[in-house]
Amino acid sequence: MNREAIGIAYAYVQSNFSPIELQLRQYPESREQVLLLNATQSVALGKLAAGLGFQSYYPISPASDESFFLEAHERVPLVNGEESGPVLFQTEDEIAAIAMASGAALTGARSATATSGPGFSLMTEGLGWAGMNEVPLVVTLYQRGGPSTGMPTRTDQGDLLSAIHGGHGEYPRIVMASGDVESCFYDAAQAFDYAERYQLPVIHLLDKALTSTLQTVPPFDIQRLCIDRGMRYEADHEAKNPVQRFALTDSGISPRPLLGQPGGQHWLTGVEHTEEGLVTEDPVMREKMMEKRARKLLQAAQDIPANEKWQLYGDREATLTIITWGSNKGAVLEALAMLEEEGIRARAIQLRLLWPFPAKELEAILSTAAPLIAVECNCSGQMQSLIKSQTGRACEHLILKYSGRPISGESLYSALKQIYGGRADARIVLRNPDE
Amino acid sequence: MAAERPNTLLTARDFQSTQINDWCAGCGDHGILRGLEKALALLGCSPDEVAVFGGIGCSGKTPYYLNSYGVHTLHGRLVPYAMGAKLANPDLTVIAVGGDGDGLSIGAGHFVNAGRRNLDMTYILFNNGVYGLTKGQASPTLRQGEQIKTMPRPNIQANVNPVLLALTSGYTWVGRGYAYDVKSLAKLIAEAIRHPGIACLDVLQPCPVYNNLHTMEWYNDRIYSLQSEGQDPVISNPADEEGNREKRTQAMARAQEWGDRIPVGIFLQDLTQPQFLDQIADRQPQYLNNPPAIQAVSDDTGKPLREMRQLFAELEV
Repeated sequence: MNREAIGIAYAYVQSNFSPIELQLRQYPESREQVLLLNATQSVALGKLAAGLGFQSYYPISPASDESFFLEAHERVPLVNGEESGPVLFQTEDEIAAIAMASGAALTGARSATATSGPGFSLMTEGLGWAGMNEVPLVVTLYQRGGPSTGMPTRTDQGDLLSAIHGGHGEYPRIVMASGDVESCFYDAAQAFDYAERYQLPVIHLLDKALTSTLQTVPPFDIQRLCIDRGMRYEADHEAKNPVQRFALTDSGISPRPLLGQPGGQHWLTGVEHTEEGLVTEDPVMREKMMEKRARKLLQAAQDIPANEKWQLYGDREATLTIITWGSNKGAVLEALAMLEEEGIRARAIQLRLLWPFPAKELEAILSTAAPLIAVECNCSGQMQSLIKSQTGRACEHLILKYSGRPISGESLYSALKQIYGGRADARIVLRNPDE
Repeated sequence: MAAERPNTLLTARDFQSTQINDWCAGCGDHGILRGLEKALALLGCSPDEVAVFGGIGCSGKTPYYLNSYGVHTLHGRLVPYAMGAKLANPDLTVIAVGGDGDGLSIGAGHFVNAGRRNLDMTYILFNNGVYGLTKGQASPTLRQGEQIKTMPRPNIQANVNPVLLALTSGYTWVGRGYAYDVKSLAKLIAEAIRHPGIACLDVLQPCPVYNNLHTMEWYNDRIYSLQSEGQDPVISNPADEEGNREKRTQAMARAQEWGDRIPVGIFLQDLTQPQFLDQIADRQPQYLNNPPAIQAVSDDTGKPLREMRQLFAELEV
């Protein structure tokens, strides 16, 4: 029937329309090796290269593809000819998924879970436990349309603030977002380094648009990875037993003993605790522990180099400044190129590290932005409110899309042209079916 | 499964921590703790190969009172935390200790699903019919119509039978102990830990503060030992389908006894089911020798040890 429909349509167009002149450019055949993949595969490969040891998951769209890919590739050769590989585990729900991944992380395995919208909501109590117990854990969060079941197979960027603030109480976490399929690989790998170095949960944000973007990328350069396992407890150097898992240090980071490490017995608990991991309600110790955990994030903000926090594209000296995050990067680059062709000078900031927010590093560039235009796929402008709360700088324009469809380069270009022409509202919504 | 090492010098005392215990006097938890210490010594475990995971509630404090790795997790979630640790480090002796409210209400999904995986670990259920830490609400093992002294009205919800639920969920070792009979309890705990699969031990325990119905006197009059009445719980011959079915049916029938006679002991031990760790090793031959906990991931300079070229080649165009 489909073939028949195509035939009818073809005949109709042929008899009712004049021929369309199409110029197809011929590209020289490339001899270079390229990979064809989407974000879930790119993330999975990054995790494998980084030494993923354990991943638990509960089936959910669009996150499950990643775990399924990993399960199909659970035997990975090592450079010495032997092999290793992650244990992939399908749990009864997302609560169990984050609990199991945390339990595995406590033994020293590089451990992760991957989920989407409602699954992440269920994980927030476990996320707090990981924060309280300083567990190096990677949560890969593929955003989809919310709230509730929302639009499970459509794209959205509505989980930014929930990734940063989700859960009760205050604890440090790192939130990072990839802008394209290629960087997913390196970001997924580096998430483990952040997690183990600062001993906290890292939320790696992606969106549905990236998972349905199938594209060719140059082969990944695994020599670019520089794996950091963080500060480990060594039984020889200290006589104290049980180990002070939560020893108070200047950086807030304590040498980490592992479950099963000889001589490394220690306590872990979600209750406020002493350096030994024992329950305490002492007000002074409470303050010390809250501050210890908070210091780790200050340390991360200080250590992580600016080029890992955000990237700048386009004309560096331009004042017309776009700021965006996640999969919008593609449309933003396309729109920048179109503006450039017309001689309109513009630049774009793509945020990679959303938390701790790189306020200090952005200060100079934001002060020369005129106008500053936020581009994101949600209804309330979560990134722009984050920028405002963290830097005091408001965006002059907000270009939003929340129809469940990704932003196209053309529609973004038109909106930017309106702004350039001085005839645009502060809030511009890119709507379907206009594009 | 902890190997028995009869020449060990460790005693129950070596598994005690120096923490001050804040359980109420006469609480059944004390008996379970003593049983656990004795069992670990009996099995010749070393404190640094044992990880104990607690939930939330009075029972959840157990890890603090033991000299081992002690992990105080979230309400209802102790089992997935424990399973994650065991899967990543199969050499650990993993024990989950949680209350009846923890395991059969908020954590019921995990209780059931744990039975689907014959992973070598032990789940000890502290069963006192009451939420003690929140001052006396009905737990899911309190029967319909019962009213303990703190409840404003009699219970209108029916109870869950943990032994029956464990049997139908697939636990391959199911037993029940009594907290005030520490000697027998220690033996049961040791049996549960020694079992090379997923074990669930329901432990009946009085709560002298809130549960005025199920007191020591009440239990003492009713408890009898399954094994002393000749019950053989072991299923070891997969070919004997009829005999095995009979043993399972018998275990379920015994599990439903309550009232005048309450059985303790081992209801079922099924040795014919595949072990979960072996199932993983079938898929990943290196798993038991190089489990996730000890996998080296980089060389001294931080370069990855995994050879990714083959994987990349699959996606080459």
